[in-house]
Amino acid sequence: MKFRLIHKLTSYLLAGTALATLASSQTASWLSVAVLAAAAILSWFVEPDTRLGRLLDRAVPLLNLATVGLFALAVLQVVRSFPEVDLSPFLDFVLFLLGYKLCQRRGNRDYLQIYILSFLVMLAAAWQATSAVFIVGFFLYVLLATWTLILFHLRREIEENYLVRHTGDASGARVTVTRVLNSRRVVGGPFFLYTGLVATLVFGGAALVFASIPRVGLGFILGGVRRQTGVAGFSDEVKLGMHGVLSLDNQTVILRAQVPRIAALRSDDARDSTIASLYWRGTVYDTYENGEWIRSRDEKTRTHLSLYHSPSNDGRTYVLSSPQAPGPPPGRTAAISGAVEQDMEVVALTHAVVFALDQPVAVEMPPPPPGAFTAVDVEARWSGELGLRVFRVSPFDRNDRRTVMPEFAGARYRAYSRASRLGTDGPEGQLLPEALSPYLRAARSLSPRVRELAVRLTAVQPSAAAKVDAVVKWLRATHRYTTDLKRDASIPDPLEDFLFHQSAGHCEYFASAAAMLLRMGGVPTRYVNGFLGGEWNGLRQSITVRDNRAHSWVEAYLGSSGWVRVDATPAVSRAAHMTRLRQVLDAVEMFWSRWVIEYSASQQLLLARQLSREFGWLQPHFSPRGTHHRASRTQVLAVAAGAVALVVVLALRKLPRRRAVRSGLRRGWRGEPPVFHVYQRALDRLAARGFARRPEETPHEYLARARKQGVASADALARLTECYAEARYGDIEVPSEVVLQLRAEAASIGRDS
Amino acid sequence: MIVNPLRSRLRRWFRPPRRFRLTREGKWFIGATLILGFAAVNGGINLLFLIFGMLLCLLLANGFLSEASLRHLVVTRRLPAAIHARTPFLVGIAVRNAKKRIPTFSLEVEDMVAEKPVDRRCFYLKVPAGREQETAYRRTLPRRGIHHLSGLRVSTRFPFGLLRRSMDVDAPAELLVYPALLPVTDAVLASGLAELNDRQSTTRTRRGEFESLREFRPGDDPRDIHWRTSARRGRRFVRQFEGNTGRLVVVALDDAQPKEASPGGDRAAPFEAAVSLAASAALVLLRQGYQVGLATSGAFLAPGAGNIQASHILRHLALVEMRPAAEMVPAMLPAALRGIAVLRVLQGPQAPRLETSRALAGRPS
Repeated sequence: MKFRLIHKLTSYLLAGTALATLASSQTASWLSVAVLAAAAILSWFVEPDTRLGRLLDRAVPLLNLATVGLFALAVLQVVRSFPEVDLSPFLDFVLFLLGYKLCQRRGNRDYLQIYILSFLVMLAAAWQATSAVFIVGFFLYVLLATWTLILFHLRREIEENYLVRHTGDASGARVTVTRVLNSRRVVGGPFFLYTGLVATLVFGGAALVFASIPRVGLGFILGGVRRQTGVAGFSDEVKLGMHGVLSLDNQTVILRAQVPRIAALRSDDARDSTIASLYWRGTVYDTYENGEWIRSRDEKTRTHLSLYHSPSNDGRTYVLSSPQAPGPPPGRTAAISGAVEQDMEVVALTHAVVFALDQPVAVEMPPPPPGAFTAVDVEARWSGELGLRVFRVSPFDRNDRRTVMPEFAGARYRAYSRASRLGTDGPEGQLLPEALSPYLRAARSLSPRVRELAVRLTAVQPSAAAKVDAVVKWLRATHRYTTDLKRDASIPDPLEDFLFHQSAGHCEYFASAAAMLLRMGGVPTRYVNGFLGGEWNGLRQSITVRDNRAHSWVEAYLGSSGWVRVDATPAVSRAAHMTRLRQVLDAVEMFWSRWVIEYSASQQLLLARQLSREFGWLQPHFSPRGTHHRASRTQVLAVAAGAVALVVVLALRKLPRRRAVRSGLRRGWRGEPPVFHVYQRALDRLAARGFARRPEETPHEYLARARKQGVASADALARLTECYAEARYGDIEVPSEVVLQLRAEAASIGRDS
Repeated sequence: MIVNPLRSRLRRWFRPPRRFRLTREGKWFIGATLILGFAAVNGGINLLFLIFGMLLCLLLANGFLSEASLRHLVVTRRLPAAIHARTPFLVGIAVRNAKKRIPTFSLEVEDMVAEKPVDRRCFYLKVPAGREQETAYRRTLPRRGIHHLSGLRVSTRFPFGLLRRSMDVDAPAELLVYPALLPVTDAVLASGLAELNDRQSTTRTRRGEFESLREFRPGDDPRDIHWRTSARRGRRFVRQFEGNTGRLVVVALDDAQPKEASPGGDRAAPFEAAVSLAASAALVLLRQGYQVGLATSGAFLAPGAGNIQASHILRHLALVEMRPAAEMVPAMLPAALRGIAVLRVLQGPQAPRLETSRALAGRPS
């Protein structure tokens, strides 16, 4: 392949890789990416000497105007986004510039700008990427960047060096450049093999640098913050018919949980059936009105937390209790005794909430890793719901949690839960009637016929549990599950529409209907959003929960049993374990998330310790007496003396050169004869006036051109050139008085009288 | 006598094996790397650390590959046989890549005078492994005499152009630069020398018998080019003739230091011009078939013909210096040459001039 074509191809692939990586990080809009990709494909055929190229050349003023306009627009959009700065308009502008430059490839400068813009695109991708796909794009980028930069350098060298004019025939020289650029022998297979190997080493080195640079976190000093967008849109509110439509295509991982009790199960079938029945409780709502579930934020429903510090590792354990419950709150040991332990990893969410198996009783937050400047902590919300908040860690007081950060980038914690079963005592005990009043509020938007239905279903039932059973049975008998929702607009409340006119709905409808009917039947209820089930990953011994497992159910208060989970939605079967490929991909994503995206100082320490153990550096040395052996003072002194000697030898090697440079400076400018300085200043002055010496020109050729062009004081330039040439090439020293005279004459060179 | 080799050896020992200089692109690259590193540390964005690592490693790779490019190279300089002052000549630089597998890309070689490179350089885009490539640069030396070349500086900006790495190779050489050549054919003819010699000469052959072929050198008469051989071998070759013993002439150079400086303020300029004229005239006469001798105040070269005589005369003229109060040359001629034609090259304030005469009665030498 021709050298020119190879260079063009690698340049395009570099830009394409950066763009694809950006697209994979979901940072830029698909529209921008698609438009740029189309422009890039078209630009391949735009060459300076083609009709398209000429057409584009004519449109350059317009395009430049558009560039300025777009830049102004981007600045305006960014300014308007204050104080929540959104830099995406700048990214769109960079993409536009990249497309423009790809179409406007005229010389090396344009290629260089393409590389810079591609790099900016890659930076944007790195800024936002959370998926392991980034590493594939990054490797390709390193490979292509290595090739492209080398080819670009060679091309520039060819153009600079083969344009030397040995004769006055410039066109002949250009033919030489074209011939070399079209050569097929400049680079070949071995070149790409060897440089590809170098690129692989660069990639490995980048990984090493990544792992070894201490994560000291200067952010607390300079205001920096680890930025990450929520990748899962788990909603903080529920609107029937508008949100919460289950999307089976959404494979975004929300949770990863390691539950030792489930991992201990030997039978796959038993494990799968257990996992399928796991309810991961998240947000809880107590008020329904006009098809919407919200939180009343009534203080009576406030979640109460008791904090216990771990003396060993500075961890914090929060134990849930109800202030309305009689008796003192349970202690940490009592709360977690016999509870199901879960090591949870919540990925980025727009609304951060603690997920745990139903009826969480305690949450244990690990201490922030050393060097971290943010920490995640638990905050109490309402109805047993717990939120997650990011705090800035003060370097002076690690328990100072006053500064709340706006963005949540995932968290890891340990949760303890008890199964909520009918007939067993709830963890919070018997609640007072006033504490339950918010959960009995009926919606004003529902017509009396809903209450009539509720009374009809529950009036004859002897207990709350029987009422629950009756309502669930009625719903499952009269309605079926669907995600293809229909709506009768003549009925204002979608729940009433579901109850009396539609025969199908999804979990939100079933849960809402059950909650309202039970409330009207006198059973306190609350609406819960979370996830149902998960997929078992045998490689990691963990459960992965994706966004498509979002689910809604109801918790009903059943006296001594406390809050009991009630799921009125008909069962929908889903795969409980992953295929082998999916397990691997999930494990990769998990590894990526833990060891790359969230890589921190504590993991560095962990890694260092592990490596030290591998290489035996950590093995303690014991003397025969059994005491710990340390390096002797002599050994330390010997190493220090060796290091000093090495430094001295290296310094001595460089000393003569430094002396020479210093003595040269006394002679004149940069250690060169003074006439060089005079000549260079004359050249600079002429260059500033638009008459620069070409790289290929000798001083005499330049002088001849100056005479031809009628440069002022060409005779002075001639004398200066003569002296310069003699000093430069003949090693003849120019006397100081002559230099003074030349300096005086040189002042007039290029200046019109 | 011991000092110079010792100093040279010490200088070689203390000379850094490689020199580095960041290019403009390299400075920008390092600046961008530092800014990115700072942003990564400040923001705690892990993937930026990865890109920061890539930039750092590209810098390292730049150093590693440039070193690999410079290793195992054998650089030699090839000089032309005759060099005249103020006449461009080509200096050939051959680079042999002694590496077994890896080619060397983007190499520049500069000749060095007094440890400083000249302004022209030779560029090699690619020197394949185990192969040699030669290219040349054009150079013009302003003055005759001995010029010293100290070595060769081999440098490269490969692979990314971020850094110029160079190494100095010892290749000391002495260049004997002959005087500049002037167009003198008409002047010689006008001087009446031909008439003197016509009377003196007994043989009428314009040239001697054909002796051999040799490669063309600057100053050769283009009429002597043997086109058939030149076409066959791809280089210009000229015919060489046996000396013509029929005509004798001694070029006598006025090498006395003038009492007053020339209008330009340089005492040496008229003398240099006279030396150039003497050399040019001697070459023209040799080419026309004369046996030419040279006389200066300090030395005398007996008349002779052919290229060897031309070399002797040019070498002598390359090194001749002004003498204060010198006697005129014809008086120093050996008695045996009494009466032969003398072409006197005299210094003049504006330009040198030629005079012809017969040799006076010489003193016994």
